[in-house]
Amino acid sequence: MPTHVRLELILIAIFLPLIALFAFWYVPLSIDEPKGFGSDSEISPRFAPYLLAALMAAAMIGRLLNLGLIWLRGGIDDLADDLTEIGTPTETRRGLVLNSVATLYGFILVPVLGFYAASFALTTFLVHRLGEKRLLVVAAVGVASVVFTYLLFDELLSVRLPRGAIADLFKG
Amino acid sequence: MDSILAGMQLALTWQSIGAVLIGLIAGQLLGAIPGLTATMTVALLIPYTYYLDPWVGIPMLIGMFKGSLFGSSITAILVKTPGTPAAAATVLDGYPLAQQGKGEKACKMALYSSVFGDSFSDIVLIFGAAFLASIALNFGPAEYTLLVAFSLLTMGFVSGAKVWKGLFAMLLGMMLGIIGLDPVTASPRMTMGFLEMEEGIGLIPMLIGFLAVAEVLRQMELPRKHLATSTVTFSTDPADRRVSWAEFKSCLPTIFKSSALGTAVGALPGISATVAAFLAYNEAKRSSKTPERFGKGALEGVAAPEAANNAVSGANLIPLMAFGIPGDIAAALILSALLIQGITPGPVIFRDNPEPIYAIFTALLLANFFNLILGHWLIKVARKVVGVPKRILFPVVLVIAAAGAYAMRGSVFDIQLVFLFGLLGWALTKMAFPTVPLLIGFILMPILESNLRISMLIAGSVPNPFGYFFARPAFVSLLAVMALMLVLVLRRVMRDRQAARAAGLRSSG
Repeated sequence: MPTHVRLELILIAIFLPLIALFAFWYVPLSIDEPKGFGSDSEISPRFAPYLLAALMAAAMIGRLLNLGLIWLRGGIDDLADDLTEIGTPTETRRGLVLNSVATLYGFILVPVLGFYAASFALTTFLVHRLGEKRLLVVAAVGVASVVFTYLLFDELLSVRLPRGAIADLFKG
Repeated sequence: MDSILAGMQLALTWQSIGAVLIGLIAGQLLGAIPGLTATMTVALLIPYTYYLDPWVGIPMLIGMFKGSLFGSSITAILVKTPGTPAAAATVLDGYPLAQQGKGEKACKMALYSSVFGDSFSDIVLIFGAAFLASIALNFGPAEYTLLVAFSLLTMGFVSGAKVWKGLFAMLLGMMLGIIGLDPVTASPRMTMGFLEMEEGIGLIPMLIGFLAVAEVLRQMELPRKHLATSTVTFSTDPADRRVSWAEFKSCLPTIFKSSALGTAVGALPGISATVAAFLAYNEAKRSSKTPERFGKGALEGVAAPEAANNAVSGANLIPLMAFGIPGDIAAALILSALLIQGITPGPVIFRDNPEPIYAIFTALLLANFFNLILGHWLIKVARKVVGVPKRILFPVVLVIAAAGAYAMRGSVFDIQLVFLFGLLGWALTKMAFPTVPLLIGFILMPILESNLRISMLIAGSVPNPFGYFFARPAFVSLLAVMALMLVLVLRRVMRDRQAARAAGLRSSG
């Protein structure tokens, strides 16, 4: 069986139970049926999530049936491969690391250090990691990005970018 | 006639022309920054217009609005980062063109289609405002529901990927679109206890995350030698740097159709330029003789969304000028600026004091003309900026994307959403799921759900619910047009499959 078909089956095997869990556990738990105002509404707030979950499940079951029919006809190996441009495993691993860095920036560095310090740290780290060896250039890019965002947002547009928990501590 | 001449005189002073130019330059530069929408740039300028002469402040606003719409397309094409959501559809073919060295050609096509779409809708506004507004007012929740449901239906099937992946992505986008307060009962849905989620997921963090951050992360994972080069290399062949008359002529039917579509959508209150751009893109792809070129660098794929999203900007002023009802937030902001200056648009002003209206019309056309000239200058500036190596440009794009997402609501949560959606977009790309149906599903779902539920509430309160729908001429006409279009779409899908079979390929399902 071709790799792309195997991946499709794995994805469906993961997504179908997740959709079931969403519909039968999460929706009843998290969306209240209205009592009082709105209780006479024609459609409940749970209608859209249920409908969308059912359609997602139908799309996947339809694909499973479709693959089953193709397999019965003996044509599973002729299916077009859609995984030609997704990159090598090394690239994917590198992408995971970069995603972690970006997530760290958004979830920890910005709220704690503030936007400017966090952005300086992110740009210098990434520029260096992506291959720039000259430390002066690395530092200059970090400073320039911070100065540019400060002038544009804080000064020109009067949008005060977050100063972070540490600055708030000092201010207090 | 005297009123028209008097209006033109108001807008043709050197102060007004200067104001249009300043507005255009500021709008083009600010529009190119991800997260700073045309609405936001107009909102930023409004307080200052109070201190300016009306015929300096209003032309400046108009220039800024139009400039920001075009500015956003430049970054959409060259760095896959739309400055405003309205340019998101431009990425689909603009970016592949830029990667083929034809970035300048794509930018110029975007400029010409933008100006064409803008001028088209302005002319329609000038000559047909009252007529179009009266048609638009016949569109109720039932018609909106039908329009949006049809768009989603065709989108899922013509997304170009494996059909189940296209449908799944679209449904996932729709699921994200319902997060927030229920539109009728206001009970929280899937907010996971976050107060910020009750307003729903912001479109800006979603678009920046899926289009800009996901792409930057995907590019940054490539080998270092690839990152030492610039984001876009420009071909030295003059043919790749300009739009020839033959190319423009071949795109003209698409531009014309998309401008008309954008104008029609813009005349309907509440539907944004983003929706119009995606609808026009879908329609251009659906009606193309070679739909397989779309997504790989088709000039029509740039022309269609650009003509449509700019046509919306003029058409949004139709209900504003004819009835004093703003069609969208940007039109509402322009209305507030007009009110500050003592101008109240509506049927009465056309009868009693039409000079300011004709002055506004003149300023609109003037802004289009200068947009065309200044657009070439912006393309030259953008060429220099994207000449910077990727390893330097990409981290800076991430920082600007985060700042742009924060600026809209002043919430750190939006910065976090940008990176969450960046991760999700990256993961979906790795699994070969198309992201465009997801974005369209997200944009259209709130419109679909609220209109569907309002329709059901109305239908439930009358003795014959079906009678309610079928007694509406607009609903019946729309249903007939859509049934016809659905037949055409299905015929196209069947024909493509037969062609694929004939070529010895099995349909991938």
